Amino acid sequence: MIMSVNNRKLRLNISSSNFVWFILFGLLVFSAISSPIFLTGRNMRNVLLIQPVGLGIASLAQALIMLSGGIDMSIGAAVSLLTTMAAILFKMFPDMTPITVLIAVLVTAMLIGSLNGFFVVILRIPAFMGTLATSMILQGLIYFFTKKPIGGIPRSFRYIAEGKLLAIPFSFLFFLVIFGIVYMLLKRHKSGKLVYAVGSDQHISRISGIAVTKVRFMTYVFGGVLVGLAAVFLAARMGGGGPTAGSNYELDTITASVIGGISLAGGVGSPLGIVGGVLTLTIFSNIMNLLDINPYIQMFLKGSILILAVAFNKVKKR
Amino acid sequence: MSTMGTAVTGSLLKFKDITKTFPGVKALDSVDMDFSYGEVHALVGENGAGKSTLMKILSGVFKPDSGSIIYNGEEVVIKNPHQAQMDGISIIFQEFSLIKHMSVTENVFLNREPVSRAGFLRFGKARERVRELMALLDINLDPDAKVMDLSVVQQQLVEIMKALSVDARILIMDEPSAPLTDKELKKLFSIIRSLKSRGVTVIYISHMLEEVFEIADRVTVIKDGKVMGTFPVEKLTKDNLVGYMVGREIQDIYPDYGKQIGDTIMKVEDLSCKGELEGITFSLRKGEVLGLAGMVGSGRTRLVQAIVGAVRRDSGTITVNGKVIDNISIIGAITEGFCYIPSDRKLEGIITSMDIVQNTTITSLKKFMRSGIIDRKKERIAAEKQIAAMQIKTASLFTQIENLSGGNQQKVLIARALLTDPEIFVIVEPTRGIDVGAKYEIYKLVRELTESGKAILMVSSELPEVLGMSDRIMVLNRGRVAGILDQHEKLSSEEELLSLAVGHTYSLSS
Repeated sequence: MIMSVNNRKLRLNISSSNFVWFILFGLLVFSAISSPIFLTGRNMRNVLLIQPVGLGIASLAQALIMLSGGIDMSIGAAVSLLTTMAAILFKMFPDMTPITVLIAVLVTAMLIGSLNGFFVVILRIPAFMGTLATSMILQGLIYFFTKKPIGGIPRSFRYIAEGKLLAIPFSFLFFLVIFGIVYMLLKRHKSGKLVYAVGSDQHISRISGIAVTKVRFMTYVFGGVLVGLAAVFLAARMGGGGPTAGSNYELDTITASVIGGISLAGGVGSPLGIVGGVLTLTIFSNIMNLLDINPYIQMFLKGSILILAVAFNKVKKR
Repeated sequence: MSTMGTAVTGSLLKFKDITKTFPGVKALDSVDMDFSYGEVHALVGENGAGKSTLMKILSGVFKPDSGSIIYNGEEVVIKNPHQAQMDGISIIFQEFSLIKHMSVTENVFLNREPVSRAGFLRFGKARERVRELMALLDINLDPDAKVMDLSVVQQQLVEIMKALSVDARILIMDEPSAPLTDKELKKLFSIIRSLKSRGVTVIYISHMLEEVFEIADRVTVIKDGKVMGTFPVEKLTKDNLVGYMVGREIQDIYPDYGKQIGDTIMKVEDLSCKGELEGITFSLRKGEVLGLAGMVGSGRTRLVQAIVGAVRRDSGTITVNGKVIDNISIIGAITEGFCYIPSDRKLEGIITSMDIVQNTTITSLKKFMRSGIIDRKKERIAAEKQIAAMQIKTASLFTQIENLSGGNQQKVLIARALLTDPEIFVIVEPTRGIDVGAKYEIYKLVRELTESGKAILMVSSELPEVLGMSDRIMVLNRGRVAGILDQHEKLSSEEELLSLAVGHTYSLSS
């Protein structure tokens, strides 16, 4: 009896929360061996502290929504729209302070999250379809305003991605603070407990007195704000925005979350795992670039990884 | 706990004229009830009588169609489970309400976590309060253990702690004893008594009448959604309580029939499934109902699954009409003239999203195909004929099957089976979750089948059903045939049957 309980725990530990670190370690070893550039200070700083930040914040949004039992297919289009919006605002109103733009972007992001929440939670459209519809709506809006990338984000705003504070890249601190808040809310705050409960079983949550609709709606809204923060970072990093700025982000964030141990069925997974998943994806892209692999082959491989991660996630549940 | 004197009497809660209808069933029909301060009030009735529905209304899971609830002297509307909790109404649900990935502590305080002013969780405080609860209830569990790693009994204890952690004035226990052992049941009763002495009203739902007599002050009997009466427990005997619950004499439920038993249609010889069944030999004759009885784990279900090919058998031959057949899949069994009506209609029987016609014809679609296309008209006419013959109560042929009552769903499954022209019906728990009136109709249908020469192998956990319906009864005991009772000579008794099932010595009579 005791044996079997122990075995179960052991298996779960390896397969979900720790699994990602084994993969990451393997990938690091492979990268260090196969490319002399990989371990250089400059590349390391880039691949560990700067590059993962955008995907990292967006993946926190995706993971939060997945934990509550949903999914967000609109993250890519939302990032594109929000970066474009930041660039357009700076272009049209050169006197605008970076803080004003930042607030405008976040408020819009929150509205996008509310739209998803409205479709999925209020109208009860399946999350996949509802957020995919949002994605199409947003993509249409962007192309209505511009078909080309727009630059011109001022240096003051770009500080978020390129500045340094006490020799540490500001981008890293930016991520650390956001991660800290999400971590505390999910693991130490009552609201996080409710997200896990609702994601595990809506019926049980309801009869336990949890306001399920409110919890689900709020994850979409809060997820929207996180997507906004990811877009702020990316606009700062690229110095602009455009219709394809967030391409594939919806799938990349799902891949990162699933590799990081977030269950597709909701209710299971930890914020730390997401960091592992994001680093895995970022390092994978980095080493592929360093090895000069054809970008289309990279796309092919990334799709394969997504399928493997999802299939593994499914198998685990049986 | 407020300073409630022990002598407080009077009514704490009243139901007035509560009615609740689900598609196809009137679950509650103008129910009036009242509950006093500090009493243990038992709620009894058959499966599907409406007990759980009434408690779900009280705990805010369902809303009544009409009627009112007077609580503490005021009319209240219980909008949702959260409000019920806030009002001091706590419930131990019949189905588990625990989140399996979460720990004992997390589950006990779900949505009522001890938190700081800013809403941050106070883990130490929660663990401390769980330890207090465990000490109070004399339970020994790891507060951090995940619920999915616990046994069913342990999960039930968590469930009880979860309900008791609310400062409840009314505590509803819906079949709390089912998974418990005697020792834990005694503990539960002592908890109930101490709650009672503190003025808490306990509503106790149970099938186990012994428990009701042991713990309850008053008993309310519900039948077919109506209150049959409320009685002080000392004025009741077990017999008249059963009488109120059933509402009619047992003999009336089972239809009379002409016993025309024909030739042997199926012979099962020496059938074995490793570790579960051994050397099962019996025969089934046209026009008879062979009841299959036995305790849980005796191999009843496994045997019928092996016969219809749902699981593999390790050895044994099955002969139908003199021909040895090789049932290795259900599809194969259907072509050999079998049909299998499983016990879990939702899981293995009905296709919830389809309408009645589609559910009736799904296994015999080939009959209605013309060059690969379904002839809808032909399909509908065939279904219509069966549905009329079964007297299925429905607004339309195209009603979704999930909106029918359990009894009518079962009839659709029988109709479906009939379309495949089976000779042998294998029916598992034919009336589980079906109300009494509809049971009678199912029994009548089964008898109509035997009168037209069909052979029926029926598994049932309800002894009265086995005794009332079967021509012969085969009793299984730990994977072997313990005896076959012939009902022709004299009707067997429950005692006779049970003694075979639990393994007392018995010499075969036939």
